[in-house]
Amino acid sequence: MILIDLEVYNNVKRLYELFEAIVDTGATFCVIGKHVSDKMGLVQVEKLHLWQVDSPLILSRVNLKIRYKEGEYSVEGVVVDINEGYLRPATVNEICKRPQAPHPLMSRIILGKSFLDRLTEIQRKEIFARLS
Amino acid sequence: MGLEAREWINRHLSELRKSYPNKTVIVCEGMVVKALGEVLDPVEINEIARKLCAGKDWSYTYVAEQEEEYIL
Repeated sequence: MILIDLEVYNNVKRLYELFEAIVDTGATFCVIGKHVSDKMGLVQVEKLHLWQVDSPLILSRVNLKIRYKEGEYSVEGVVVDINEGYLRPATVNEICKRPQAPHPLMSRIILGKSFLDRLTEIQRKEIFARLS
Repeated sequence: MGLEAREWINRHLSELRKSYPNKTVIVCEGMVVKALGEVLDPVEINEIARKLCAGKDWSYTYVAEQEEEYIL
């Protein structure tokens, strides 16, 4: 897993917030949890249907203002509403055999192709070099 | 932005997993300055880190014990 840092603009506080980001080359868009998106006053626009593993996933589009190194980017993202119970560690009594850790989007953002395509080839290579 | 702190986290992730399993850690100047037992969102983490690491390069991570095995 590649983890990098970037900043996302918070419309409510009017400042950039540092985010830990998971780089996901298989994702078309950047993905942010609704619990964070709402807090940052990000405006959701139209619905979007995407394929996930076995069925369509209906999400809302959002525009993310992202700062990474010296660059500032306006990037297409989607907001995913994660079940509140998954935003905390699992308890011993839970029926579902979910992973113990909270959902990764509790404290992170996913960086998909909509962001990665905006970077230079050198920047992309720098990021992917973290896998080696 | 937390470039050096991020590098430090990525280099020390396996050690962090042993020392701070299932905690959110804030890293500044090559050390963990805060380990938080509760799970926080990035906005809450930024509020804490700005006070602890004002003007310094900092970063954070949630140190999941097993998380990477479970992401599709």
